Order: sequence, then structure tokens, then C-alpha cells
Amino acid sequence: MDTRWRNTRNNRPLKVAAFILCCILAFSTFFFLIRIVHFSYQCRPEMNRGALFGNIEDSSFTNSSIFTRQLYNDLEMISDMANYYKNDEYVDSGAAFRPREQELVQQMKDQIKSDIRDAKIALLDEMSRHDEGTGRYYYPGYSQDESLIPENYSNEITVIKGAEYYNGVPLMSVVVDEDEITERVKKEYQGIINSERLDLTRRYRNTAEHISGIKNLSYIVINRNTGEIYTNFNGSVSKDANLLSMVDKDKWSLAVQNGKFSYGSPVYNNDGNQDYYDDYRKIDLDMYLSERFIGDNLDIFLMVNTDADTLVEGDGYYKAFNQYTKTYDHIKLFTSLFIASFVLCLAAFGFCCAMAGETDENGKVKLAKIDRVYTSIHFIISLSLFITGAVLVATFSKDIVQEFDGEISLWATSFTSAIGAAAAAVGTQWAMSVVRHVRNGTLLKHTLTNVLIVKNYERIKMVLSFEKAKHIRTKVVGIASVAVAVNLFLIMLLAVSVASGNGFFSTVFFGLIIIFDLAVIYMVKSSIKALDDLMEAIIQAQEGKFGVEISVSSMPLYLRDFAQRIVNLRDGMKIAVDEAVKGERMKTELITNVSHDLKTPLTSIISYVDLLKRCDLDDQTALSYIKVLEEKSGRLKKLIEDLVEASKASTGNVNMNITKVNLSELAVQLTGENEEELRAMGIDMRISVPQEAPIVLADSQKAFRAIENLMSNISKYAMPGTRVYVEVGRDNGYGFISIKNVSKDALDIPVEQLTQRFVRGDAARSSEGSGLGLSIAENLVTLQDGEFNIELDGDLFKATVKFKLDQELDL
Amino acid sequence: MYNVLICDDDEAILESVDIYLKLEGYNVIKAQDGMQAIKAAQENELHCIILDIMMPRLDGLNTTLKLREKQNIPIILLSAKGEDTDKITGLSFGADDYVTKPFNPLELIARVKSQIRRYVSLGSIGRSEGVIVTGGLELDTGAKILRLDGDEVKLTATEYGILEYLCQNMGRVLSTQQIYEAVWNEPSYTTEKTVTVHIRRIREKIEINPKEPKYLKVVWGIGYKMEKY
Repeated sequence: MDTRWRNTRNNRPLKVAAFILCCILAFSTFFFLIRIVHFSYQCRPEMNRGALFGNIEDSSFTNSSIFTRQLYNDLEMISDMANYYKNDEYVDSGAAFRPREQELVQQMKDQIKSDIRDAKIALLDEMSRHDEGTGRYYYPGYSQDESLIPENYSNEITVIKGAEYYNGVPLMSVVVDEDEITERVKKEYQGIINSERLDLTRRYRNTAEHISGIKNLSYIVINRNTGEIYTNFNGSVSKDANLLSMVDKDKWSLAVQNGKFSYGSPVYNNDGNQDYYDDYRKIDLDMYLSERFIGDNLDIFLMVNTDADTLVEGDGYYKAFNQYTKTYDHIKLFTSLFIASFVLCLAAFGFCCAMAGETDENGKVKLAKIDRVYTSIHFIISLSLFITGAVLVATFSKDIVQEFDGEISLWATSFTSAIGAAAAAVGTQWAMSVVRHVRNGTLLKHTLTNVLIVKNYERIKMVLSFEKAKHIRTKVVGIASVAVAVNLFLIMLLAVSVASGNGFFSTVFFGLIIIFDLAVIYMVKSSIKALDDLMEAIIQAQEGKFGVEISVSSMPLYLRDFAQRIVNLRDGMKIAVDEAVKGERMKTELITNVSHDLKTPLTSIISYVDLLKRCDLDDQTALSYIKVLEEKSGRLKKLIEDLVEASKASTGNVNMNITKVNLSELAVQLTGENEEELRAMGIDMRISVPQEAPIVLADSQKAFRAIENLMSNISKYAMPGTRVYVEVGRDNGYGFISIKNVSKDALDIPVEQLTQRFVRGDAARSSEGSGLGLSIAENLVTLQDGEFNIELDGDLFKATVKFKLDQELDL
Repeated sequence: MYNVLICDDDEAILESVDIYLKLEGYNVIKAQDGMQAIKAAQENELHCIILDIMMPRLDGLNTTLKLREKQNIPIILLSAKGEDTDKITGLSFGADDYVTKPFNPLELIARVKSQIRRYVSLGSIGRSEGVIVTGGLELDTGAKILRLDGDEVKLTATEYGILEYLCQNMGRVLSTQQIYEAVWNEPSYTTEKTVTVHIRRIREKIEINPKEPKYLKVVWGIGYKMEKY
């Protein structure tokens, strides 16, 4: 089972498809939902939850807002007709327009008055401004009653004794008389009045036409004041008739009196008033139907035919009925689709969640990239996006479903549904991420707060812990805290003193703060300086300088012990170093002295062997013994000399006199010195030098000694009849001389051992030589910052000596 | 008959040197410490003194100082200390030569001979124009002759040319290239091996121990110079 789920979980295309499907289904869910709600609004003025889930059985045409809207529209037209337009004659004579005309003229007169007054004020302003240049105040109304000029000269209109004044000038005095205004109204506004009147006539014609086109409605309007009756009812209607009793219930299925509905056969209650159908619509219709007509003192009675069988074709009610029927059919389909979409969407969502997180063979969950976002952050972002989406969907849906004008906007619905789908996508991906984290066991561990705490655990622990410092006394921390507290306290006192305006205490506290802070700064600085001194002493000691003075007594108390320990440590170190240096020197001295003591007797041996040679000896055996003595004494001499040199070179007890040395010159000189000797042994020397001689930094004498040792090795160990190659060149900042020769004995020793003291190419040590040559050479070269390198390739022996190139010259 | 003082605290060395010097026909006076040496120098007319440095009572260096207060006799120091600094110290104390132990007896004798010859003949040869002198070496540029401690040394024309150029630039270090260009009188494009071979031959002719030349010195990696005495 595990494998099957894993295969599905790791099937990325399938999961992507499921996710997209979920989004699409969310889209369709929202789409159908909006349409259902919209229908519910069309059917009823208020939301009926039953309609949302397809329960629209109690819905009927007369119940729907489609019908209500139509009825309201007609009612308004009929009441307008009964109240204002009345009939053609009334409109044509201008009587219908009169109230409106009077209202218009009054408005225009007021406008003209106000215009004239504004013009006057502007003029007065201009006049007073005119004389400001002279520096004198100019009051336009001074020639009038000066006592009326207010003391505080003002540009505002002042009312004095019921009359308006502006800068002391009575404004009313400048307003022209009524006749002139009427004249101006006629002149300037007659066009507007005429167009308004035409407009009224046009509206009357439209209304009359509409009313005459009504087929499924019968109306009776009685003006209770005048007794006028306006109706399309084909029967006689008297002023005091009981209208309800006149209803032919077969023909009219609904009657409305003054905005109050009754269905079928009206019911009378005890007090003789009609018992109105009591439902929620009454409140609405009461508000916008009945009150209005009562105010106009009209008695309006409507009879409506809403029966599908007898409905007459060709008017608003017929259309409304058809629209209602169509929508009603749609809603059944949409409800099924909505339910299907919703269920499938949930299924897709569930699948996405269940299959979230690819899994490897070990059942370990592979987190997606988005999962790197801390779960808490992810939750907050997803939630806010989701809520934003939900709010947008709710807002847009409300606008859409409350749109009463028939057809719903497909574009707006799609757009809103898309937002809903996006919100669903956000929610789904969050849920999937949660599932992945849960399966991985990291949901709570990966929250931002948790991660922050884990990452800074050590720091948090340190701040919170009460662990004592091992060496710095806790007092130091205490002193620092006290210093901060005292400072804050002093600042507080200063603030209080300043606030209470006490100059003396303010000065005192200010001074105290300065003195206290300077003391604290002094303490901090001396602490830091003491630490710095200690650091300097340690750094210098590490570089071999032990002379830096540490004055322990002037250290801060908490550092004294530490400083004393450092002094002790340093002194101990100095003694150790001195001892080591002394020991090394003594070793070299010992070797020098011993060799010196060896040399004196050796001198005698050499001399006497030579003298013995000169004696007249016939015994061949004796002569051969003398020869052995001579050889071995010579060997001993060489050994002693090399021993001293090797000991000095290996301890670095050699003074180096570094100068610029021409390696080509050195190589040529060496060749010149050794060539003849080697040739005598049948060894040919080949030398190759570069066009431009490498100039290196070396001690010329010591460099020669090193290379001479190599040369002497050649004379000892090179195979006669072979060639020796000396090459000079430069390599990566170094100049080098390499010497290659073929060894006469097999070199069966590791390269590293060759440069060790007393190691020779021949294990038997039969040949001459001390075994120190290469060791001395290596030490001497290394002491000059050079490199000494030996390579063995079968019997081929290659020694390379490198010295640093003189950069100055090379550049 | 020249008188040579040999002074060493080691009997065996004293004896052996005595034998060699006597073989060469010198009159040998022996001393075992500095005091004896000074005494002997006062009592005898000496032509050369061989002094060991490490001696009881008065060491070789201080003896040299004392002797140099009055006399100009050639002094050869004998020591087991072979360092350059030791040699320099010895020479600066007024010694004329420095031989390290263990020495080749024949080399010591050659040095004694050289010192005596120069000491005795000094001043007897007139200093004429064109004669360059350093220590026991005289180069007569007029006659194109080289004399070592008064004896003429046979040189080839090239050897003479090199020597003359070196002597004209006494004390200066000259590279093989410079020497080649001056002596062969043609440009040198690379470091010349020819020069080093010639110089080696010259050294064999004028130096007692060519490995430790007194006059014609090698400055390794730089060139050659004629030491000025």
C-alpha cells in the first residue's frame, strides 16, 4: 500500500492536475453560487436561504422582486398621472407645469440677487484696496452713517439692525428692484423654463403611452379632496365605492389598495379593516408605496392579473413573468451544478492534501520550496490572502446579486469567481504545505518563533542564566549596573528639578551627573587600557619580546590577579626560551670545543704520517700501512671540519651576508674550479645558462659552500665516463642551479633520508666523505631563504638549489 | 741561515714542524708559550715566527700584539679555529698569515718560505714606474713580468692579461664577463667559462694553497678580485 501511495505522491503531473482541477471547481462553485444567490434576489426582495440550496418551492411570481419592480414602476407612473399630469388639457394649458415654473423662477431670482450682491462686494473690495497705497484707510461707506462702521474693520458681511453691511456699506441698498429681476429672469432664463416645460410634456406623453400599454393591470385612483377619479377600469366607479368588493376574482389574482396587498379573496377583520397578508414584504411596500400615496391624499387601487393562463401578451407583466419562468428553470440546473462543483472541489482538495509531499524510498518526505518559508509566516500570508479574496468575493457578489436589471453580468461573475478560485488555490497550497510539514514532523519546529529561539538558544540562555563568570568577579557586572542606575536616578532628579524650575538644584544635579559620568568614563577607560596593556604584553611575548612592562599595582582590582598570572607566565616563558637558546649555543660550543681538541692531536698525526713516509722504509707492507694511515687521517680531518660546520648550519648559528648573486656567474665559476678535476676522473661537465642571468639574494660564500658540497659529492659518487649537467634558470620567483649526474652505486635510500646527517648513498660507508655534505648544503640553503631539493630517478641524481630572485632588479 | 721561531704548547706538533723546517735548512728556535716566544724574539734575530693561538700564560694573539710593538718579523698564526672571523681577527692583530689545524706540513713550510723571502728581499728591489705590488706579488707592467716573493712566475699572454686587468682594478670585484671583454677585447654575450679556467691556472701558479687563495680571490656568484695588501 505504501508503494502505491508513494507512486501517486511522487506523480507530479497528476498532483498538478488535481490542484488545477480543484481551482477550476472552486471557480465553478463560486460562479453557480453567485447565480443562485442572484436568482434568489430576483425572486424575493430579501435573501431566502432556502433558495440557496434549491429550496425554492415557496417561490412564486408575485413573490419575486421582478414582479414587485414592475408593479412599483407602474404605480409611480399612475400616481404621477393622477397627481400631476391629469390629462392632455391640463398639461397643454401649462397648469401641470405651474408649480414647477414658480419654483424655478424663485430659484432664479435668488440666484440673480446673490450674483448682484457678490458683484457689489467684489467692487467694494476693489475700491478699498485701491487706496491702500497711500497708507490711509478708506472706507467706501464713510459718507453714509459713519457710526455704523464697526470698530474692527472687517471684510466680512456684518448684520447691523437687521440689514446686511459690507465694510460699512449696506448691501441691500444696491440690490435692484423686483421688476428688474423678473425682467432678467425672463431675459436670461426663459430658455431653461421652456425646455423644462417641454421636458414635462415629453414625460407626460411617455407616461400616458406606457399606461395605455398596460394590459394585465387595472387601476382606480380617487382623489379624496377633489373627488376626481382616474381609472382604466371598464365599469362605473363612484367616489365612495368599496373598491375591494368590485374585484372580479377570476380575472384579477391580486389587489393592492394604497400599497397594501391582498391575495385572492380579501379577508375582513373585526374592525372592518382589511386583514393584510402578513409577511415580510409588507414592511417594504408600506415604506415606499403606501405612505407616499397617503401624503398626496390619493386613494389608489390596483388589480393585477398574475395567472399564467390568462396573462395577456404584450406588456411588462408578461415579460416579467417570462423572465421569472426562465430564471426559475435555470436555477434548478445551477443548483445541481453548484452542488456537484462543490462536492468535487472538496474531493480534489482532499486529494491534494492527502497526496501532498513527495516521498522517497525510506518514507522520508521531500519538502517543497515553498515549505522553506516559516510555517507561521506562511500561515499569516496565506490567511491574509485568503481573507482578502473572501472579502473581495463577498463584496463583488453582493454588487452582482443585487443588480436588479434582469440579466446578470457574465464577465463580473467570472471575475469574482476567479478571485474565489485564487483564494481557494491559496488555501489549498497552504493546506498541502501543512500536510507536508505534519508528515515531516516539522510543522511546529519550522515556525519563525521556534526557529529564532533555536538559533539564538545559546544567547538567550546566556542572558537568562545566572551562571557566574569564572574569573571576572560578579562585582564588576554589579558595579556597571549600579553605575547605570545611579546615572538614571540623577537624570531623574535633574528632570524633576528642571520641571519644578528650581535653578539651584538643577545646577547641582547637572554638575553631579557630569562628575559622576566622568568618573565612570575614567574607570571604563582605565579598565580598557589595562586590558590593552595586557594584550600588548602577550602579543609582544609571542613575538619573543619580553620587555614590555606590566605594572600590576596600577591595574584595576579585578584584573590584578590576572595580570600577575600573565607576568608569571611570561617570565616562565622567557626563562624557557633563554634556556633553550643557551642549550643550543652550548651544544654548538661543545661540538666546536671537542673538534678543536681533536684537531691538535690530528695535526701531529698528519705530520708524523707524512714524516714517516719520508723515512727510508723498504718494507712494502709498512708502506701500505702508512698509506692507510694517511688516508684515514685525511678522512678524520674532513669529518671534524664537516661536523663543526654541520652543527653550526643546523642550529642557524651562521652569520648570513645576503647580497645580490649572479647564479650564472656562480655556476660558471664552479665549473671552472671543478672541471679539470672531474675530467681527470672521466666525468664531463655540461653547463647551460639562460640568456639573462638570474640575480638572486644569497650569501655568496655560503651559497658556494652548499653547491661545492654537491660538486664534491659528484667527484665521490658520479659514475666515471658519464656527463654532469649543470643548469641555471629561473622558476616562479626563484633562481635555481640544478646538477644532474649518474650515480656509480645504486641509490637504494629514500630521498628524505639523503639529507639527514651521516647518511650516505652507500650503506656500507666504504667511501670517503662524512655523510654531512648534503645536510650542510640543505641547511645553508634554507638559512638563506632558499630551497634545496633532491630527486632520484633510478641512478639519476638531481640536486636543485633555489634562491629568491632579486625582485628589485627583476622588475 | 734563517732563524724561525716555532711556538706551540703541543710537543708533538712542535717536534714535527721542527723536523720539516730543519729539512728545509732553517735554524729552528722552539717555544711553548707566548712568554717564551717574546723572550726568544728578544734574544735572537728572527726571520719568521710561527705562533699557536691557544697557548697557556700568553696566547698567540697577545703575543703577536707584543711582538708587533717593536718588530716587523713575519708572523704566521697557527690555530684550530677555522672560522672566517677567527682568521680576520688574527690578521687584524698584526699577523701576516693564518694556517688552520690540522694543516698540511708542506703548506706550512711553503708559507714560511714565502714570508721569509718577502721579508728578506723587501726593499731590495727598487720601486720603478709601472710596477703594481700587493703583498709578495709584483707585476711589472713595463716588462710584463710577474714576480712572487722575488721569483719570476711564468705566465701565458692571456694569463698575464687577466692578471694585469685584475691588478689595475685592485680590490674591485670583476665579473667574468667584464674580464673577458677587457682581455679578449670582444663583446661577451654569456658568462664565459674560459675566464674561470684561466684564473684557476693562474691561482695554481701564484697561490700556495689554490683552494684558499691569498691573492686572487673568488667572490662566488659575483666575480674575482685581486686582494690588496
